Amino acid sequence: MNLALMVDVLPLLCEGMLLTAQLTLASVAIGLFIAVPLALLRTSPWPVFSHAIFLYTFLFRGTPLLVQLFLVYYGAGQVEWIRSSVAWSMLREPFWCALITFSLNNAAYTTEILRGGLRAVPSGEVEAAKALGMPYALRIRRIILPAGFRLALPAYANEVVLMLKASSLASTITLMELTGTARKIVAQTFSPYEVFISAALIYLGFTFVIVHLFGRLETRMAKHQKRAEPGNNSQLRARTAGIISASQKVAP
Amino acid sequence: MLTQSENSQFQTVPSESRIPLRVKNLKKRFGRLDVLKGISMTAQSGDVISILGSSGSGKSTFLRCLNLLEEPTDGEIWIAGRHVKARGRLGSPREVNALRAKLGMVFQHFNLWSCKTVLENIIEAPIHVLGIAKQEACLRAEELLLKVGLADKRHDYPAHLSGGQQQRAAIARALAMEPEILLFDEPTSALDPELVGEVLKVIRSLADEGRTMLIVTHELAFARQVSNHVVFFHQGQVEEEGHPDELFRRPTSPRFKQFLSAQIGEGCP
Repeated sequence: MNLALMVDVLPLLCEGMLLTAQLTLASVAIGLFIAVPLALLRTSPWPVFSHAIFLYTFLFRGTPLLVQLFLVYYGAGQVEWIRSSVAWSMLREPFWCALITFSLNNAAYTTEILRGGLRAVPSGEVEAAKALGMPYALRIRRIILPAGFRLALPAYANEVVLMLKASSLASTITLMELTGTARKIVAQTFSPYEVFISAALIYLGFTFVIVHLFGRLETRMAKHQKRAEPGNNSQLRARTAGIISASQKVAP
Repeated sequence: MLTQSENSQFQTVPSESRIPLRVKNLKKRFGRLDVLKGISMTAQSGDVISILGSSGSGKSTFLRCLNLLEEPTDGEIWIAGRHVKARGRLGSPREVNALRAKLGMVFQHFNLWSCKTVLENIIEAPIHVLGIAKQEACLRAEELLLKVGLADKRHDYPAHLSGGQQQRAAIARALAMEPEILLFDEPTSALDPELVGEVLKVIRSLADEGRTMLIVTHELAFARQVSNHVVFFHQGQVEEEGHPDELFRRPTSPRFKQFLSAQIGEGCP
């Protein structure tokens, strides 16, 4: 194994990594943006919406991402009205084809993940919000979405990692992201072992960052489940000692 | 205080708007099951009404129908003089929410928002439903926390509290909306026996303040002490009702007698 080569190709691969990062982050962001309203409608009591959205998620989860990518990249060009429309200026670019496909695919999975979180929100907490006179939109915004997102977070982190790796498929439609760049270098150097190991290490590093960030988010969001720290509590107790003694007089 | 059974024709309704709660012939059906078969009830200001009954008699459903967590099949409801449920027709969502804001509900399982601290639980609805400024809402929440004896727990999450503390926090949350009527749905049934007392103490102090309350409970001794009217539900109907002293001393309905002896047999006074 040629260690020097592995180090040499790193800067080249990092350029490819930039595109991978762009594709992943953009499609995850757009996917989440689409998925939140869809997940809410999917759990809504109106069957028209939930059925239509189920069809969408079923189609995108039931077919390979590679096939979807080919359909958009090669298929769209065969349809006359698409070619003559404004959208063609985007759809003839491989970057936009990849971004649109990844976003829609990611949105489908995220919709189902969020749906699971929303449905796991304890019904008693929703009922309490209703009983206090909170309107539907307020309940969604203040109670259901925050609690549902917390519950969905571990599964969602997994989905983001999967999206990172799925973005390697963009190399099949000429995009020079990390995997594409690696293949190009392999074709030039005939050293698949070193180059792909370098690429894999970069993927690992990126995954580590994602997992770490989500881990921190999770701990922060799960602080309501942790045991109270005794130190914290005693401080509070000292601060409120006066009030407590007063309270005992008021409400024994 | 007057509570009428299904068929009474004469409803004496003096100055309608002052009456916190009036229910006429309320019915609820789940599929083929008639859970409520026509309940009528009136609560005057300051009334504390205890609702007793064996499980499945429709007590909880009745409370849930009052704030429209369940949609009544038939019947009419007035809250603070406002007609909220006309025969077979529910108000708009806005009207329903306005009604619910007037009724403070305390649940058997507390139903605190687990991701929010005690204080956040209490100020949430006053800020976002009533539109009160956060600072003022916090001040009022502090007063309520003092009242229920939880001032030192304001920054704790519900999971860190005992059941009794959670229920007291839930009572404070309901009080923060300054409701016309408080509805208690078996407030102590999910608690360990040694925690029941602290919650009952808070409820009793609210009764002493002259608040209008409906309490579904299995605590007979408590119902007898705290309420000025007791209603016994049986199979979706009011089987017997009256002043607690009268009712517990001389129950007339055989089913209520049976209920009482069964409860006492279990060790309740």
